[in-house]
This record gives sequence, structure tokens and C-alpha cells, in this order.
Amino acid sequence: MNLSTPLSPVTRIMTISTLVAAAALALGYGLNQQFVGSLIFIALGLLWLVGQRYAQTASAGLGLLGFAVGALLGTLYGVQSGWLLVGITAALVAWDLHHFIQHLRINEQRAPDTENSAATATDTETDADAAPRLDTRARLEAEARMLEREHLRRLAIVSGLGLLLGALALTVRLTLSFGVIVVLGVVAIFALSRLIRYLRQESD
Amino acid sequence: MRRLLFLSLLVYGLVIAGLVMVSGNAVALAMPLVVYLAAAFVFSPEKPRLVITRTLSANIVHHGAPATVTVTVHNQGTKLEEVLIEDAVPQGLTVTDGEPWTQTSLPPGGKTEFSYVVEGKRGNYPFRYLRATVNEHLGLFRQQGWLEVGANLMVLPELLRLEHLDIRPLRTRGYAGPIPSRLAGSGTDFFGVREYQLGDPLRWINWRASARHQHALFTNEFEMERIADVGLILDARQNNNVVVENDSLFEHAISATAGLAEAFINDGNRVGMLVYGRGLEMTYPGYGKVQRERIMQALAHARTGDSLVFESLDYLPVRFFPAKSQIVLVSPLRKEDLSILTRLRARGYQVLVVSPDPVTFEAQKYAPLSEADASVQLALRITRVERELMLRRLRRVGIQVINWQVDQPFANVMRTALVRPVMPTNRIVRIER
Repeated sequence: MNLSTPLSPVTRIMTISTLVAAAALALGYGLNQQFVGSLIFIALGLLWLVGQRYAQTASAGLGLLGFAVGALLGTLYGVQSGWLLVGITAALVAWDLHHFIQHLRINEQRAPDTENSAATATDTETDADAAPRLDTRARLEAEARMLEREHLRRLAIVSGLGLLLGALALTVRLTLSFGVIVVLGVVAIFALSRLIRYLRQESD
Repeated sequence: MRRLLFLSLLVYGLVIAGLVMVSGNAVALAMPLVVYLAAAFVFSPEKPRLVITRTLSANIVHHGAPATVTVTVHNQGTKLEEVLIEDAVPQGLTVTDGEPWTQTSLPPGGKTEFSYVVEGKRGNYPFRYLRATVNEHLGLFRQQGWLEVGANLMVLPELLRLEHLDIRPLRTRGYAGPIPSRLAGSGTDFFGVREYQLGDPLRWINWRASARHQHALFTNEFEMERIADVGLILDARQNNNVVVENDSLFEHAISATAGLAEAFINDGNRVGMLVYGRGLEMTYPGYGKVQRERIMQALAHARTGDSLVFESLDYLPVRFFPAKSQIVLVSPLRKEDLSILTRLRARGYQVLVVSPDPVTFEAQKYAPLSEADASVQLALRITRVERELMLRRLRRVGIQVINWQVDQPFANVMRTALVRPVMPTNRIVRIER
């Protein structure tokens, strides 16, 4: 089964997100006269694109990590936070879509011989005999397309909300006392321990 | 799972770095990731409550015939954003159409169905498990489980169709059939002449014999045709099997046995079967279509095996076969089998040996090698001579032997070998002049 055609919009959005992430960070660093930083992010973006082209799963994680570290360093160098926020959000979208495409490719590989066997069998068959195969293929493609739509919709909402909240967090300034910071730290550690417990349960 | 851990660590990294650097902007950068994580957590799937049924278009199919497997999934729990159902297709079956999996989303009370077509070689294929994987759209949280949904597909062996087989067991059963019974009665073949008795049809009177006597009339007698007991023995000893390039001599023996069973049953005979190898797998004698199905199913299950006890044919349960009945042994044969076959013959059984030729089978598979190497050629000749001598010894004790080279059509071989012999006159009528 070839799912490349229905996947192409996702691939396009992933490529655009990668370019936007690289461009936002490069522009942010460039506007701050950090041209080396700009070059690094352009290179990182290109490397990530190459990784996407050759379906390297690890490149997604490395790409997001690179852009996140770059955004964090940008706050130290005084890069305008808006660019950094846009960059990290776009990188998150690209990271997500990279994994989503891999996920659908696994499904594609799950059914290795269908097309070949159909091709050899239909040599002597009529169109009516071939109809069930087309049905199966159409059903799977329709389901893949539906899941793709739902995924993109969820991702758009999540990234839009994240961008909005991030922008809000950048504009709203709160002064927290040391006690509040300690409480927040404890909550963070508690949440981390819960997460680890959850992951252990799942791995069991 | 790795993605969830990776993203969580990234969020923590950004937050902690923000706290260390006392930078609100750094913390704000983690916001899209936090929202992403939170959304995945909120929509994380509960343990799915799925009711899955698997139906087969037929539980028993013939060799080469496809079977359609239909899996129906009912969601009796909450909404499942993304559910992947994978059917574990038993090893040995090939999916020829459709896919044994589906991926979709299911609302509460929703239902989905998928079908695929499988084909396989002879055997029994138990379907057991299906794997269900449920996750939310972002794919961070996932639930996975195996569900046991049983079904069974049996593929019957390939059938080598045969026409009527002429056999001559010493004893027949009491019902009319196609086998000459060595008894006088109603039939078609001439059997003898006896004195006329009241009630004999006039057209049976032998006028030529009667003309020689002034005060006596003589009547022709015919040989009754009855059904018989036939016992099939399939040799399933591992040592006797030859496997070359995924082609097994045993599979040819199975097909031959299936063809023989069908031909004998079609003639109305009472047929039983014994698979001798791993153990003793018996199909008790019976008639008709039901018996045919029993034998075919037993053949579908038949496997070669090793057993110290059944290494030779010495433990053949002779009492399984009615006295003086027809025994058909399907076996590549080995030297040690000669004694038991001779004993069977001595006990009054009519023995027919159908022997798939292992020497030719193996030689043909290694043809290029054997043609090139003179020593291989010599070994082949010696083995052939040994086998021919063994078969001659069997023929000498009155056992019918059919040496079947499996590349030749079985029906032709049987037709040629089982030409009804000219029946010797076993009843002499002395006519006194």
C-alpha cells in the first residue's frame, strides 16, 4: 500500500514548520547581531530536513532539542523572545509531524505483500475480481486520511494555544516571592515523580 | 513512551533553567510544550472496553481455496481517538487479499469491521489473539493489550483424484459393491457352471454344456460384486521422509492417501486409516461422506514424527484391520519393513503398497549436481538397484507394489498398475459324460 499521496500535506506542513523554526531563530539571532547563531540554526534546520527526507527518527528529537537549547540560549543573549517562542512552537509541530509520519509508515510496512500479490493475481482476473482489493485499499486510505485530519486539527489547536499562552506569559509579569517559588518547585518535583511512576507502570 | 519522557524532560529542563537563570522568558518558552503535554494527558485513553468477534467464511477449506476472515470490533467504552486492531495471523497462512489490521477512531458504541483473505497449505491453523492499541491523537499516551478471540481454520490436503480402483481382497462384506467377491451369485463376470435349479432364469442356461447331456440342464454362475474393508496405512515416520527445498515426500504421500481414501469411499467400501509415525493416529473404519471428512481431517493434522517405539512397522496394530481385508500402505519403504509386510500377507491380508520413490525424488532435486559428479551417479544407480531388489522381494510374496515417481500423475500410475488381472478359475466344475 502506498500512503505517500495522502501523506503529502502532512509532509509539506512538517517541512514548512521546520523552515519556520529555523528562520524564526535565525532571524531572532540575526536581529540581535548574532550571525553565527543564525548560521547554526539554518544549518540545524537543513540537517533536520535531511533527516526528515531519509526518515531518521532520531533527527526529530535532536532537532527539537537543538532548537529548544537555542531558544534558551537566546534568552541569555537577549534575543527577542517572540522569535524564540515562534521557533520553539514550530519546532514542536515539526517534531510531532515527523513522528506521525513515521507512525503511518509503520502501518504501511505492516501490509508488505498486498500490492505485489494483487498485481500477480489480477493478471488473469476480471475487474470484478479485483474490486475487493480496491475496497480494502480505499478503506485504509480513507481511515489514514481521517486520522491525519484529526491529528492536524488537534495539533493546530494545541500549538495555537501554546503560542498564545507563551505570548501571554511573555507579556504578563508577575513577581513571585521565594515561598511561592519553593512551592512551585515542590509541585514540579511531585509531578516529575508521578510521571516517572506512570512511565514505570506502562513499561511493566 | 520515549516521546513522552523526552518531552517531559525538555519541559523540566526549560523550567529549571528558567528558575536557575531567574528568567521568566525561559519558563515562557516551555509553555507550548506544556500545553502539548497537557492536551495529550487530558485526552489520554482509558482502558478500552472492546468486544471483538472473528468469523471465518469456512472453518474447513480445501487445499488452495481461500478463506475470508472478518473481524468486528464493538467499542463499549469511552471514545477511542485512535485504535489499531491487529489480527495475529497463524504462521503458515498467507494473506492474499485485504489487511489483517485496521486503524480508525471509534465513538462510544461504535463499530468497525475489517476482512482479509488467507490461503495456506494443508494443516490446522488456530487463530487466537488480536492486539488492540489505543492512543490519543498526539500519540503520547497509549494503552495496549491482547484479546483472545478463538477460531480455527483447517486446510484439507490436496486431493489426487482417482477413478475406480480394482482391488481383490480375500473377504468382502455383505453389501453390493464393485469388488469381485470370489463367490457365485448375481453379478456380471462369468464365475462357473452348475446344474440347473428351479427358479434359475432361462437366459442363464448354458446351452452348450446342456447339449452334451441328455437329462440335465446347466446354468451359468456369475461372481458376486461386493464392497470390502480397506485399511489405509500412512507412513509418517520422520526417518522415511525426504525433504528437499521445501518439498516434502510426505506431502505427496498425504495427497496420494487422500486420493485413495476418496476413491475407495466413492466405491462404497468401508475405509479406515492409520497414520503410523509419531504414534498411532487411527480413524476407525466407516462409510460415506462423513468418513471421508474424518479421513481428510486426520490427514490435515498428520505430521511426521520420531518415536523409538514406532521406528519400525513391528508395532503395526494388525487387529485394527478386519481379517483378510485389503490393506494399502503408503510409504517410501525401507528394508526393515519387508518382514512385517510379508507377515501381513501370510495372515491373509491383501496388501497393496504405494511407494513414493524417494530415490528419484531426491535425485531430481539435485539433478545438476548428480549429472556433474560421477560418484553421485554411481551412488544413485546402486540405491536404485537396492530399491528395485527390495520391491521385487515384496512382489515375490504376492504384494502389489506401485513404485510412484511423484512427478508423474498419480491417477495414471494407479490406472496402469491396477489393471484387473485375469481371474483364474478357482471353481472347477466336473462334468461327467
